[in-house]
Amino acid sequence: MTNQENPILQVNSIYKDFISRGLTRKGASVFHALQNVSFELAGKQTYALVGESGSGKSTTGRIICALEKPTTGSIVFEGNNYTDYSPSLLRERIRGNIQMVFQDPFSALNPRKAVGNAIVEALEIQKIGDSRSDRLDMAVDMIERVGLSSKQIDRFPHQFSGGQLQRVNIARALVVRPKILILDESVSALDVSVQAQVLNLLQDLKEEFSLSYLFITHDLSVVRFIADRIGVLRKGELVEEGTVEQIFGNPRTDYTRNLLGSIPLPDPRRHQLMAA
Amino acid sequence: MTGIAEATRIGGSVDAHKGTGEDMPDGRQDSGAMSAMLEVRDLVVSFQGAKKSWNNAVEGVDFSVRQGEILGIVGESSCGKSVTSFSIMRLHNERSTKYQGSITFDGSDIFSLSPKQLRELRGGDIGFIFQNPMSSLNPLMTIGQQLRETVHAHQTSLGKEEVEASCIEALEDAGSDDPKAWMERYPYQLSGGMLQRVVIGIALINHPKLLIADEPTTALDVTIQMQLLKVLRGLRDKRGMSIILITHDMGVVAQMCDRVEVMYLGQIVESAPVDELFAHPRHPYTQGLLAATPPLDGDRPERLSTIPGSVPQLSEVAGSGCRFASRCPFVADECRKSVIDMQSIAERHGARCIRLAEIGEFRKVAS
Repeated sequence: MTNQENPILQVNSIYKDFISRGLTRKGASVFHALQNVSFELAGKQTYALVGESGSGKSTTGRIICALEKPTTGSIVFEGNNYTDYSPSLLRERIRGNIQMVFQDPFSALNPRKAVGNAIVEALEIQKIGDSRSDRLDMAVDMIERVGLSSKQIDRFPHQFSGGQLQRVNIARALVVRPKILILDESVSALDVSVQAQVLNLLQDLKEEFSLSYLFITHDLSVVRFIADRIGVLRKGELVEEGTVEQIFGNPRTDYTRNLLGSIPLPDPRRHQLMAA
Repeated sequence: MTGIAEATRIGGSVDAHKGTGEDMPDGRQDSGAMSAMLEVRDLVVSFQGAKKSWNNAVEGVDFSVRQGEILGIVGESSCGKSVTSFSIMRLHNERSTKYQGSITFDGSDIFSLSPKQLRELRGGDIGFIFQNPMSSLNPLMTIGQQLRETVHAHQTSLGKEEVEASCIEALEDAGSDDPKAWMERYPYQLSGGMLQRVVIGIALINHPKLLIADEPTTALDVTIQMQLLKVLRGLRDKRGMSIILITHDMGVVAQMCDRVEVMYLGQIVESAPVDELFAHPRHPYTQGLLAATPPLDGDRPERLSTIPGSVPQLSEVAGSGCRFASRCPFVADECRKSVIDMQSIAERHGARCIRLAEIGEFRKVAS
């Protein structure tokens, strides 16, 4: 993408160590989950973080969403470094702007709360809307925007299918009008036909609400469809970064090449399994 | 596979890329008339629901697996893939399950076997790999103990060294680089990919004739998935065993399978050799599945084509018509009227759709 504006989000050389304390002093160990990860997310762009499990994709997403603090390094949203914000300051300035959609749509929602109330709750916390009916209207609007019917607003999570519920989660995240949406494996648990619907929906919403996406996934075919830029993580380090065309057309590291070569192609005429 | 694929190719649309049969062990090329290792005929599996009602989870499933063949069963969740595969070994709770139809494995009727004979079959002539390796292993036993247990259960006459040797051989075949060290470990000490190799090893240890793999690589990274697919394919080539591979990933199917059964809501909707299925998918559901997968080469599309709606509950699909009718772009009145049978398209290629002729033309016009 040719976007010369200032980036909406900057991640500046973040490190994250997890310390596990053993029973003895000897048993304690440090796990370097992220090492010197830096990238920028331009406005209205989709940035995909890919890598194997344990490579630090989700940790990066959680740090950007301020669910976790980096050990060192900083994250800057629209010029403000919010790494050391207090919880109340985060709620005021960041939470409404950076929202997250998780992998498992069922565990992301309270099973005892009707989905309409879950969406209204997000508005209450962000102090958007004047009255309950006002907020309910916004929730209905958003639920229809993601392709569900307003009649479904009183239903509980168990009455939805996985794909519908992921739409609810997207509606709940978008109702506070964020600028950045972090999607952590959000379509991975969905069936192919439903996944295609949700991906199309995400493309439409991006235009409509001028969103920037941080897309965290291990599924490279999805990345190729939705992303503008890709960052490849390996064991906590960003080993390669570039546009979709660069990464897929001309990968520079063996790791990326191996990752790309491991996707089973849906074409029986191209054999990948003969080599071994 | 070569013989099978050759015999069913139509219209010369598929190149002779498999013509040499270099991936096959000798002596299995000419097998047009080879007898089936497993034959499933008109299988109906019903589970007891509330108020003593019986719901058919799988209906009229019909397929066979030949020796050395890899059969893929694809479909989205709740299409009956796992119910079908569990039925082959009668793993459902029989108090609340009714089977109809027949399953014949290597000449014996599965439904007339005694519990003792079934025990001998499970883990003996039929190996099973489940999706989640962590939950199919016992966390309190070492890998070695679990392997030895499987051997002892089926081959009581072996001495200690022989058991040890066959454990190591099985792990090696499953792609372990250091089987001796692995055997002393507990499951929590191994990674997901290593554990799935252990599970494959356990399934292989008694030299099964048929391996049923239910989403064996879904929980794993692509790089590990590729290694394990190579292992499974290599095992078929080396040991000549048959494999039933259950998956929702069209890429895995294309790379692994000889034949494919596409399932939708408890029925097989299309059945074809793999080349044929990808070159000429005929059922609207198969076409939809293939089109919904984001492409890995060529132009990046603005939008993906989708199948409208989502897989309905079986109870919501009323009446006897086509089960895909509610989501089908080609649906007509006649589709909802009567039971749709499998329509033969070519030799060994069939689809459960009565509008095949019209759909073929429709697609030509559209493209």
